[in-house]
Amino acid sequence: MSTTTADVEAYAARVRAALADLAATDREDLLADLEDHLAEVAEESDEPLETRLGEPGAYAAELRAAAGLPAAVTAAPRRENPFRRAGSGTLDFLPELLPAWWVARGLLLAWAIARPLSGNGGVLLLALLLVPASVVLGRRTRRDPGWRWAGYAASAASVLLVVLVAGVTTVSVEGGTSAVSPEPAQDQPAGLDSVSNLYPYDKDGRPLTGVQLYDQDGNPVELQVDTNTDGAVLTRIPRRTTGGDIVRNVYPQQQVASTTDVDGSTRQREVTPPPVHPPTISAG
Amino acid sequence: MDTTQLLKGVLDLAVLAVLDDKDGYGYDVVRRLREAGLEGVGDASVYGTLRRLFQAGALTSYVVPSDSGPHRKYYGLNDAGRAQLARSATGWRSFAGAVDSIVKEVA
Repeated sequence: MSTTTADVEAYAARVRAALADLAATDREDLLADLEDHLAEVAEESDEPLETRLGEPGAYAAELRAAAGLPAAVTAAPRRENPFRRAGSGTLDFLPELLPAWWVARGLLLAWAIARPLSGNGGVLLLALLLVPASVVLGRRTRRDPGWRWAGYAASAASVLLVVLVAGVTTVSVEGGTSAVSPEPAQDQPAGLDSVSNLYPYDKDGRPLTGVQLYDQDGNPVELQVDTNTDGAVLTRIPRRTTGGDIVRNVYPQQQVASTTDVDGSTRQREVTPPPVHPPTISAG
Repeated sequence: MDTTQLLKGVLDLAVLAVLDDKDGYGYDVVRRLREAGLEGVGDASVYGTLRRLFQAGALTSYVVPSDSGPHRKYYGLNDAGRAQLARSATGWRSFAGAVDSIVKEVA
């Protein structure tokens, strides 16, 4: 006999599935007769059960109709929209925005990964890879519930990484700047905040005069500090070019330090070079 | 002519009549109906009808044990079933007779 017990059981199982919405007693009654029937049919002929009896779904429909039971509910219930449970009609559109989140998720991940490493160009390249991947993942989670947790993980990872990278970047910027002067002079490179005069020496340790200094951008180096470390007020005696223009970047500057005593009298003295003994610098 | 629609109307009567002749199990009833000429009758329809008639109290049911083959559930008519059969048969005869006389002139 070519119709095996397995075939009978398989057919019966499918009929049972089609009757799943019925009350248990009704269903069991119908199924009890079914198994007898299938056994008889299987014994009588070698033809497959479906050929002899039709599709299990059709058999189940005919059976329940003849038995006076209601027809099966047709469509499987839609996967429940989680936002619908909230009860608010205005939130119903949120699932439609999901694809936009998939795109955003891919962009966020690309930014978080590539920005610290290779800047905006790297972000763009990585986004070309991660955005489609994120969309594919999103579509797959819709079709196959098993992938939902992968989707949640990807979303969580993208948010966490962005927060992490943004946080680290901010901290490093804040840690680098000195807390001393809230408004450092725009043209001064960092480090001249406490410098009131500069004393250049040549490679043999001999003091130089009339040295004109410029910074890396070509701006003349002009010192802004008006008090020396003793607290005395400094007055700068400016140098002039041969044309008569004042220049403020010629070093060492000639300066006068004024100190006001408690009784109100003022003392002035010329600022002298510090006692340094520069070494001889080797050539090259 | 498609007999499906006709069958639906008279299947109860046909099943009752078959069982009135002799008690039978499900597949047996199917076979007897087909042998009598109702070839289009569906297996599932007969089984469903048997169950419905039983639920309605028109049939008795008992199991016949068997050593060689499967245990079979047999159906038979009880008094209520016999009464329903008589009523339905009368109704059918007058209906069929009316239809006959209308189509008598058709070749």
